[in-house]
Amino acid sequence: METKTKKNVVCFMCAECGQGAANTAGVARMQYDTSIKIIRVKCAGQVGPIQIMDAYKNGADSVAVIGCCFGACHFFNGNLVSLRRVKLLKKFIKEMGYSELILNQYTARAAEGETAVGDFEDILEKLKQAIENKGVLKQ
Amino acid sequence: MVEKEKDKKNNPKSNERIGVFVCHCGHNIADVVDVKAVAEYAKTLPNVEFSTDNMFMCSKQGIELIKNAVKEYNLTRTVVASCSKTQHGPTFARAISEVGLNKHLHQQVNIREHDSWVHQKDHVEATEKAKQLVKAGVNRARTLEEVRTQKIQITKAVLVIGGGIAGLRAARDTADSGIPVYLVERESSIGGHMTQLNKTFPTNECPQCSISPLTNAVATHENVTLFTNSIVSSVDGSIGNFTVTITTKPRYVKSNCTSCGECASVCPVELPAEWDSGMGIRKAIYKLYPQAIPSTFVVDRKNCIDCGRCVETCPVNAIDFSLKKSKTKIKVGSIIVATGYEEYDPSEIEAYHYKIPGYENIITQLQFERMMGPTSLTGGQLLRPSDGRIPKNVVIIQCVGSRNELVGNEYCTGVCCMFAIKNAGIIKDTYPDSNVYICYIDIRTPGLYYEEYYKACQKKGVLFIRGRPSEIEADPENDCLKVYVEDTFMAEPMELHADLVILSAAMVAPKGVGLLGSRLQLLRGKEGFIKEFHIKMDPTRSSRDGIFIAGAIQGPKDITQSVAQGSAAAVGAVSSLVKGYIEKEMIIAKIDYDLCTKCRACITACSPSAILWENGKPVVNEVGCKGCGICMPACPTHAIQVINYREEQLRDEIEAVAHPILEKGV
Repeated sequence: METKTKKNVVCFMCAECGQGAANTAGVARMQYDTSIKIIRVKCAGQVGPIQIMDAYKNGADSVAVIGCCFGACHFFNGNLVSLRRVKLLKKFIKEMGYSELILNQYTARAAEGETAVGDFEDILEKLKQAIENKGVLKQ
Repeated sequence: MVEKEKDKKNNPKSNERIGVFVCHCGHNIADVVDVKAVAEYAKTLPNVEFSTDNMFMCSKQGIELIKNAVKEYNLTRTVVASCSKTQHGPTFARAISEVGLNKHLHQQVNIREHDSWVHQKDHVEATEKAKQLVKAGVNRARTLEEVRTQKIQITKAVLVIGGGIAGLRAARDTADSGIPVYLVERESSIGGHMTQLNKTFPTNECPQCSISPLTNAVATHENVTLFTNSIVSSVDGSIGNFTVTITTKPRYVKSNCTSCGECASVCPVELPAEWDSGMGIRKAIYKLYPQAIPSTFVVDRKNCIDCGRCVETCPVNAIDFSLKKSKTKIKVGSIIVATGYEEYDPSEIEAYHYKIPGYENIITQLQFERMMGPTSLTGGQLLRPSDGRIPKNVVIIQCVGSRNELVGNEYCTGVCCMFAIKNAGIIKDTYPDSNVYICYIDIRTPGLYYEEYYKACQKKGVLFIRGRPSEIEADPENDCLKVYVEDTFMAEPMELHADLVILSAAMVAPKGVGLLGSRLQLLRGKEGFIKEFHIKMDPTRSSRDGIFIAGAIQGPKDITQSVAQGSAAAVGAVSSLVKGYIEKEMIIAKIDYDLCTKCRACITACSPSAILWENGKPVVNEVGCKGCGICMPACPTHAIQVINYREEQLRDEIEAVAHPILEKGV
């Protein structure tokens, strides 16, 4: 079993509300953990199983996909598509014997940085739970 | 160096030359992140030929630094680690395009909003994270592709939603520049809230006299098509080419109406007029107000009893109950949203008992404006709604529904102080014997001649009490209302006996804005108003390209500001249309037909319907494709990929980012 001092979270955030919320949080100097790392994608709907599994393969402990609020996708329905894809992949992760708490989907509002920071805190909380419940994340 | 060579072996194909520029951003980044260490670290990355740090990359010197480095070191890709892509990404992209590189070969790394500003306490880890983000940026830059820019023809027409003062100004200015305008108004006449007012501050001018030249000019303008009684029911397309469906409710009166008013005089149905805020009476066939434009009457079919008297009376046979709801499809290049505000409903504040039986003598400012209007039921007199007596003591309460966290509105409406001062002055002028009290938290009179107006009002004898009333209680014995307030200057509780109470209700976002906002796909703030692109620099642009906002839909405003923003929005809407074309960056989906199995999964996934089935294979409509990439995970063979967001390009970035920070020092 690997022992790591630092947890490691990859957040795929869409170029519209996702990035907007993270930037607003930055402008407001809201503090969050350094383990959160953000990758800019065009739309939450662009993130598929391949990207998520790539992140796990390269050492991520938890992955989150963050898009616009429902009904406010800047393209059309990328956030809903993403929600469905993440839901399916969660089942798959569970089948493989991992905790499903390490994959999450959120929505954020560009005008409100606290939505993004709230999401980040929730990710870390869920990751903590997953570790407590399962003991290990990776075999 | 060993690591560098090893990495180079991993990327044998890549012979790109990458330049990395790390920005201090004054203290913003450099105080937290060790920028020099980051720049040094970048030098060890494969393909990086040049790496440096600079105080302000966005300054002229910073830009020159990039340009010179590109020339000197023959760089083919640039990575700037500074602020967000939306803020200065375009600045650096423009810089490299000026020295001959395609602007999409620039990669922006955000180490300010995503790193230094959010990890201010942890300098070591923030530096490590910055290194990791720079590594990801370099990885990503290595495989960036050139993207061409295509010119797209646009429709030279503008849609203005809302016929209030801001919308009218925007429509007029757009139409004057020679561009056709479609003006959509929900009510049966244009003019908006301004026509409801009795007087405007600070000159006590008649608003009807100020606005009617504008309403007339818009209604008769050759470039303006007016849709009254109409709403926008759907919006498709993007900047330059929006397709809008307008649903028009029937007026049941044809346009040959001469506005003689015979029909209204015989109509037996009497209702409180909405436009008069309940301070007047209208019939079931009515015109909003005497100067209404268009002056055609309209039938309120919900309250009509089908007696048919109006049809018999009409001298020109204009009334026709067989008219149906109609839909019009129009094409426009830009949209201006100017739907205005709504007056806050104070009945939510229980302690004020607004609209409760026994408390008829509590009215809002808009109701007061209508009561004092020349066409009101009271004939322009101030009378108590309960018994029609002239009130002796009038109490005006400020900040009802604004600056009040309990009802969820923290903002200051900004104009209430001014119109309360105006109305208090008008009461004092008309009834010099009366006592007028204004209960306020702070009096805010910013702007030219506003403070002078306040001083003049004080001289008239209006009493200002600093304190927000806690409750209004009916006192049937004395036939008055008791207003409990603490004078916070004297620190003593007071009990004011009021014959009439006027509530300065806040300006709030109109109820229908949620639906309209989602049809237009616009962002809204938590107060409900439509969010501007940048609060200081771009207050008229919305979050979506090609859609502009004007007036009180962006936030509470007075008439002056609304008019100014209407004009500004018109300029924004027109400026993107005058060229006749817009330039689209072709970041779009591409299909590799060698891999495509013709399963049509991408066609099903594509929400803007930009992938079509042509000649036995899926084809991407290059103008329609928005490059969102929803099709990418849907494809079973990875045949469809968005340029610069290809799976292998994202993988390069994920590889760098997904490593834990302190394990091996990246």
